[in-house]
Amino acid sequence: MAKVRVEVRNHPLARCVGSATPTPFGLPFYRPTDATGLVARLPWYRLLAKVVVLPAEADPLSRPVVIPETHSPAAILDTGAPLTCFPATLWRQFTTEIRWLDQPEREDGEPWRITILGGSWTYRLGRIRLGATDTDGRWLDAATTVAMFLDDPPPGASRSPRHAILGLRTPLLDRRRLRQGSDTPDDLPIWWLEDDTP
Amino acid sequence: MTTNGTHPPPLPTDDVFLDLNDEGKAALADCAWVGEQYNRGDWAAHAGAYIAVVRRQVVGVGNDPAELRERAARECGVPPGRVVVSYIDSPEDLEPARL
Repeated sequence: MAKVRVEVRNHPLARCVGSATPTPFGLPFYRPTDATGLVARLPWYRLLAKVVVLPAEADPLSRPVVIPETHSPAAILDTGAPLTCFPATLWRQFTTEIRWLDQPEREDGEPWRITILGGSWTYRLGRIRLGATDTDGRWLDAATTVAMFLDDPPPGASRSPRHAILGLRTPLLDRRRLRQGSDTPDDLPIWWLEDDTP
Repeated sequence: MTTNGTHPPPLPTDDVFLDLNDEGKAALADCAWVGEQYNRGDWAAHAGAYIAVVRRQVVGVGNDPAELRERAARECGVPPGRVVVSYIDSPEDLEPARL
């Protein structure tokens, strides 16, 4: 059963919780208490998978021996997002690996557009081959997924999302599961993305 | 630890590990280091920007990750693919919205 460790990144919004107490070590959790003094553990972290963009024509079971950082962005693992999404600042570094898909024109003639993170961007759909690794060099075999590739925002508009988003319906998650393991002594949880086979 | 003072062998796993070259391993080590420092809050001064890291050193900060990567690679004399570029979230950054 292959697996990769998913990076856990504390979100700085946690620092804005006034009623909370930071841990001495860092900021992974805040512990607000109720009137009885009961401590509530309030996690404020995100999960980032280190995806690896492979050549479309690569053998489906091939494993890379070199992973250029240009081709291995950290993607927020967001099971609430149906589609995977790459901002232009990221996908322009691996353009040659994208197979663009034809999209029917909208009836109003406007480009296809998506609104996320308080901004609105035009996008193109494309197909890309993604595997996953972690900082120990583990590997999950790749799968081909359709993704939204956001265009740059027009001048003066909201800035692009900073991270890629790995959505629920990427085949990279097919027959795989996301599992939280034991917490480490410093309270950081360990998360795994792993094959769902014995 | 066993009674004779040695550590037991690690449990067998089915993990699949890549056979990366030294450069690839070094880049992953830098990624791990960036994550550790991030969760300690060490990058707070760079919130809202990207940092470029090579060999456990921040070698650049900027708003355009591609430009930052090229610049850092040039200054450090390494391939662009060796430079770890990571965005440092700021409190103003929202959680990912649903598509």
